[in-house]
Amino acid sequence: MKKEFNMLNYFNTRALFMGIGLSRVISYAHEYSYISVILGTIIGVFLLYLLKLEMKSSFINVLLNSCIIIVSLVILINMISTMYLTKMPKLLIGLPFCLVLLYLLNKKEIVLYRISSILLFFNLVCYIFAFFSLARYFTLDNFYFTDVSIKSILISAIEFALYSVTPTFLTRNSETKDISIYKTYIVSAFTMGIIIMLAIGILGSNVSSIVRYPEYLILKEVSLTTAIQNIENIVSYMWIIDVFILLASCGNSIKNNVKNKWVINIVIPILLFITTYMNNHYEFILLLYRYSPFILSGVLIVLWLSNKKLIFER
Amino acid sequence: MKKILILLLCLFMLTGCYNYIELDELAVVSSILIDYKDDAYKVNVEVYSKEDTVEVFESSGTSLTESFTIAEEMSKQKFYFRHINAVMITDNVNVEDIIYYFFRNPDTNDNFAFVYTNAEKIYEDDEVNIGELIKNNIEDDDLCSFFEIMKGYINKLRDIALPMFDGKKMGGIKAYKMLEPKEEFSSKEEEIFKVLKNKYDGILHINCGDKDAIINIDSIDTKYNIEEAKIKIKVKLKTSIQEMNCDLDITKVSDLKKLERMAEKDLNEDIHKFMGTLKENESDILGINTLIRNKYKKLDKMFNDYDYEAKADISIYKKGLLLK
Repeated sequence: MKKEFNMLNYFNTRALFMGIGLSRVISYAHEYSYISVILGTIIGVFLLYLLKLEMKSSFINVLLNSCIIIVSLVILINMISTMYLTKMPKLLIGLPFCLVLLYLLNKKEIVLYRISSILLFFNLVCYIFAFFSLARYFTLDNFYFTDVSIKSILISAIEFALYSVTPTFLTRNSETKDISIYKTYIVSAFTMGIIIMLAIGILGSNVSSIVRYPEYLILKEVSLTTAIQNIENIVSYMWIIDVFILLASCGNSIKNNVKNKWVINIVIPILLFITTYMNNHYEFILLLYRYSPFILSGVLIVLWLSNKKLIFER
Repeated sequence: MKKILILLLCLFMLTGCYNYIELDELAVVSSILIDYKDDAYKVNVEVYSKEDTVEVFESSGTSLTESFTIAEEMSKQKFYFRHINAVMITDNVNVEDIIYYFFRNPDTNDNFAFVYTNAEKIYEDDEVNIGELIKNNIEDDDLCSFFEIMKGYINKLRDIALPMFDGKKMGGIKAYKMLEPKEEFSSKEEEIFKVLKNKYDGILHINCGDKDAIINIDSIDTKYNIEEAKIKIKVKLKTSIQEMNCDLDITKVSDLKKLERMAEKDLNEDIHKFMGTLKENESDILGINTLIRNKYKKLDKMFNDYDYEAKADISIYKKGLLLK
């Protein structure tokens, strides 16, 4: 169970960077994003060590997981709508994902773990392929001086920690002292750090800051010799997989927090409709982009307050 | 059964069926010419037509979107920008508007050639595909790619320098200061520009009196050394002889060295002259201000406040199959 949870953890740590986290980290720290990544990872490990939780079945946990599902669905549907299916109504983009999610969640938990182990392989292949294709476009010229303050770097580091650690806390189903969680977290944060560095090294910090999906834009440079180009749509599936696994993990947490497992079949469609409403009104997406660190820190604080393990019980 | 239904739903909803357009209804755009006159954008859109010919649709509108929409209506097809080869602009167009328009659009391929033209007529022959002509001329030249030009501008690394197209062939560059069109450089000066950008793998002429020699650049390494009042440009080239018409015996080391010194002298003079023109126009197409800012963390002195010293180091390491 530990190994399976760690595989889920790998995806969950990265999922919220797509569309929001990555461009925010770069827009604050610019050429010093690598410092933010390192500091953010340290803060994340510290939070994982410090905040001991004993997850209780409660309505608050259901709400918090629902909140993250809404954020993830908004990110996912928006990205697909912007990059791939530009004319398709957003509800019809979200519907197949939700149906697959419901199908998965109505199975036993072991199915989720098996799927994540298969998708991990595909994800890593895409990641390694992207890395080796993009490394040659990386240039230090794009790490030009931009007069970033130390405060901005610290804010960026805290945001990095929030985006990476919040899903991990939410999707825990038992308190564990296992050191492998820290290892998985560090590996996952490291892979995200490489993507951030590639984005700056290829695009430059100003371009990365103004683009909604810099992690997708850099993939446009990926090619398999000159004969096969424009394969960014395939390689970018690794981002979609990250978000989908986070959706499944949060859905699984909701399922574990309610008495009747079929309740998930009502919750997910409701969340889809809320997400569709938000997606059809762009002001919600702007609010989400601007206040996501506060949303995530609120989720983390409420989660800790409602599930904390008292110190003398350790 | 549930699995199959969900799979079918995903197949029909997530594979682009909703966005589907028949190939006959698509007009694949090869090149676009954008001009701005009398408060209106004038666009010429060149699309692939049947039997290796092209069709050009001309329209105008108060915005780029309106112009393209009108041109699309004229074509009775949907424009497809993913295979676009070149976008040409004139003096009257605001480059920034064009950059942001194409960068915002997710349906364009960002690696098209972004060029400047001052030619009166471009699309005269419907058997000549101007977009492909430009693309073939520049091959994989990064300096002409829209993506690179866009990055250089948005990242504030350097002023814009667009390759020039005269209606028949590519040659020269158009320099901008901020977004204002400035000097036009010739093909010879374009070579110097590429040498200074570390991206030239063409040929250099060496004048030896009334005769000349031609050397091919095999590798190039250009460095900028910023000092208090002077910037030293060091260019290291490894070259091979393509043509030898000078009265020198290149089997002798001394004459070979003499040839190298002549090449260095010519290159130093060309670089000095080029930098002088850039300073006069205050056009930082080389991105020297960024280097200054990276070094001193501020920009008290601009690149045109410095003196320049060029030091070329050319070594000829191949002579081809002939000894002499």
